[in-house]
Amino acid sequence: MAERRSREVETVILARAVSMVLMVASHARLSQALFEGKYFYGGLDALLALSGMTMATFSFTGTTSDTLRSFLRYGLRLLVPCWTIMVIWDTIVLALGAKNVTLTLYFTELALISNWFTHHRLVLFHVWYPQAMAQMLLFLALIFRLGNLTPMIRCHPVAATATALAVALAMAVVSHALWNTLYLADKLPHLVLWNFMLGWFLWAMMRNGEDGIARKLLLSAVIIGCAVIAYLPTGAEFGPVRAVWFVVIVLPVIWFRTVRLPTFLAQPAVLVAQASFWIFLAHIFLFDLIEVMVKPLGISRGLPLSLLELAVGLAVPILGWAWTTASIRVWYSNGQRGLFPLAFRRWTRWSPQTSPRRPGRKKAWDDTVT
Amino acid sequence: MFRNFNQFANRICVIDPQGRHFSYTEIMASGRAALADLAPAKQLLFIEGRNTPGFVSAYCAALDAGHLVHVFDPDRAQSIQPLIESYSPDALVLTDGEVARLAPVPRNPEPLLIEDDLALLLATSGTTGSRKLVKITEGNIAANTAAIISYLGMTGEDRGITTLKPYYSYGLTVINTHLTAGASLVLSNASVQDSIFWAQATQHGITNFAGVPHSYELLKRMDSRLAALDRLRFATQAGGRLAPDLVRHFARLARQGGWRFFVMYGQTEASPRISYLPPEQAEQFPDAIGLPIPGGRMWLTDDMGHVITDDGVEGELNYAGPNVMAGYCQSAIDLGSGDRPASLRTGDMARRLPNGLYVLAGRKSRFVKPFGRRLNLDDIEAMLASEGIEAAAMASGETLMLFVAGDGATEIALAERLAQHTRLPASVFDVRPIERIPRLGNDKIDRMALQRAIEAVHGTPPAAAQSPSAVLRAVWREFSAIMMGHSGMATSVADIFRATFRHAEVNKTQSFVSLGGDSMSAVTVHLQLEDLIGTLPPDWHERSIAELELMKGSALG
Repeated sequence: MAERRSREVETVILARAVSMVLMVASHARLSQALFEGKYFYGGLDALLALSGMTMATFSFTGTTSDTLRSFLRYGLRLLVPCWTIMVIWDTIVLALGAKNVTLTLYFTELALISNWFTHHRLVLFHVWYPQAMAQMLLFLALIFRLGNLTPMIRCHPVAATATALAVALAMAVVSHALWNTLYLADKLPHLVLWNFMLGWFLWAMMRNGEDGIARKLLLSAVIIGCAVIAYLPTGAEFGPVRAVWFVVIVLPVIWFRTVRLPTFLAQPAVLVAQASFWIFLAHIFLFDLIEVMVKPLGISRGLPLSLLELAVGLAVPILGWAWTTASIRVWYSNGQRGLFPLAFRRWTRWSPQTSPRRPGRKKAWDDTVT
Repeated sequence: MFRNFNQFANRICVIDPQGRHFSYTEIMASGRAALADLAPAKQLLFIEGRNTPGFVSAYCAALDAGHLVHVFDPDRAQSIQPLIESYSPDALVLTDGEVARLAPVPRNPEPLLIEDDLALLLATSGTTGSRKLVKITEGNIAANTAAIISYLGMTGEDRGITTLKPYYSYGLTVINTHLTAGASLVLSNASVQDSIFWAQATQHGITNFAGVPHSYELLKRMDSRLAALDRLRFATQAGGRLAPDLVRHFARLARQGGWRFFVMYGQTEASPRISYLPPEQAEQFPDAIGLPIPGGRMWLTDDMGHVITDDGVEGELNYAGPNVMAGYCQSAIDLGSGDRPASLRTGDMARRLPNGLYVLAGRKSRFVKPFGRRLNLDDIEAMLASEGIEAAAMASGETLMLFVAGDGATEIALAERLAQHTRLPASVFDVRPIERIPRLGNDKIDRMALQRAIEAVHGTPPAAAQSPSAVLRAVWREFSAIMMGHSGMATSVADIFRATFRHAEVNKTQSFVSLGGDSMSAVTVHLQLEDLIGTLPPDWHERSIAELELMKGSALG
């Protein structure tokens, strides 16, 4: 039977892919190359809302303890790889005595709080995202622990999440009014919490699969309203552009559960969505590598370089993720033997069969880190 | 069930192998007497499945009294032990003679909670002894029986002969239909190859014959035997796919002989009949499964679950009707409640012809995708069968394992021939000679036995070979599968979850959420499951592995 020429993709997966492409395009300065202005911005804003939506799907199915465990698992899966790269890279950069590297920046970055001090960073990915996420999760975990909130959310999901969204949005607006945080690029947890809470609210409204027009119109109004309130009057950096992209990416998730695309578009989108964490971690490192390689060739910043960075920034992490995922699947299907871990085991004389393992403890990360 | 026996009273119900007649009144009285010591409340009875008056009487009396019945193969009594442990039946019923008798069975003293309308627990094909059973209600049986009687045109004047064991759903429908219509049944334990079978059939003037594909393969050499049945009105075929040339042959024979040949399709989960091929269309459309039975509805869905409205487009066959089961059970706990599916995803791929007939393309689970190319394992078997090679094709990760019986072509030559035919590397085909292809009592290939053989060769689950180059090849194949959007080496839901959560043994009652799944792994798992199962329900992350496996499709009845 011939492979299909088109396939259906869940809109939330497509939205995730578009967010990542937007982020990489923004960092590749593609907008400036095309339009002489920064019009590709806000991919991570939309990703926060989508992450909130998917996290709510998995976190509110049990007790408050289950929710807290879910927060912890997600936090560790996000932070452990980030922090590992940060330690290695930041230490190298510090040791080499690079310009603008201070001990304060080094330690605050590793402590995951540098977003409160500066918008500069040592590591070559947007460290504010895992920092803001970790701080948000810590704050939420505290609230949930003190208030035992999961049963309330399970019983009254719409009311509870709507309240949370309203409070978070108000917090962002008031904070903007009282404290100009542009010097920190507004990358603070209380300024982005509303994105996450919007994701929870969308989950609550859509979880039963009801999709009447009235409900969709209401949710559309909420999404547009939040974007307008959060990005326009607050003076947020690139506010109008972020508002537009936020609505463009998140709105279709409300209106269409799936989208049919030609396979040549659908499959890359699906790969981008799955490898999104690898893309997030690796793309700026790759950009720097490309720029170092093309510099002797006299190629300066422009459209060709931006397109090259966009392509490499997406393709290389996808290939790396796919190969690693395949290796680990083969490893585990092979009874935990095989080329990939064999070399490691010989080097360290470590065996998964003999290493002590605390009962009930799971690994915090795995090959499907995305 | 069988509450119309009174109106048939002294009519012949069954004729035993010795030629003795038993009336409806006698059969029901005998059955009631055998079960007299049972408590009046609904009981779970395990009844030996034999073609004896004892079985027919116990079966009819049990259903008439509203008990829940499971018919088992008495020749594989040891395999019934896990079922007894899981379900704790109230009694065993032995049926090796004219009269049935109860046998004690050690059980949990707590009374079973059984839904009021449950009547039968059926094993799916080839899984005798497996704990998973299909729950069938009295309404399911009544609806299916009435539908079959309707399209066959069965009357009280008909007389059938038992060619099948009653622990198979097809064998039970023969009993149900004849006894509901007030017809009679010759109880025979002989094979169609035995002359005694034909002596009985001729002596008692049977008007219909029921057979599985293997029966008709044997019958093709015995056309004269069928021609000698001068009272023959119709013959039915079910229990698997009959080769189109045989369908054509018997349809022509029926036309010439003045009787009708019905090809039928079904699944245990549909009690079991789903469709039938109108006899007048069998010669022209010998590969079709026909139309839905009266009261039923069939339709096709694509991978995303959308209904296919165009003719000629292949999709998964779905069925809805009053004969759709009341769900599955794995233990006594499941007898008291459970979700009842409104419709059935058959797990078979099919297409609809412009004239409304449906044609099967193969089992969804019998497709493999090495290097992204879709292969139908049944087609491979059929191709080899047409060349006189008896073989069984099984998927083993990305490899296609072929068990070849007798003196088939040499392994290398066969692998290369298949490689040429499918345009895939010869390394995809692992050809293994075998003395005899293991078969079940209904002549279907015993795929579970072959699966165990595969696991014995490869370890559980089937694994990549040990050498670094073989590992690299396996990684490359899996990498290609990921890039192309296929499920890769995962052939089951449990495989996907095992690879994601690294547990050595994944409990099938667990779900993505209960295993600790989160948004970081959800996308990949979701896509792998979609490739394996098709459209996922919105709450897939909360469904157990067992529930998701069921969506993947179930075995034929």
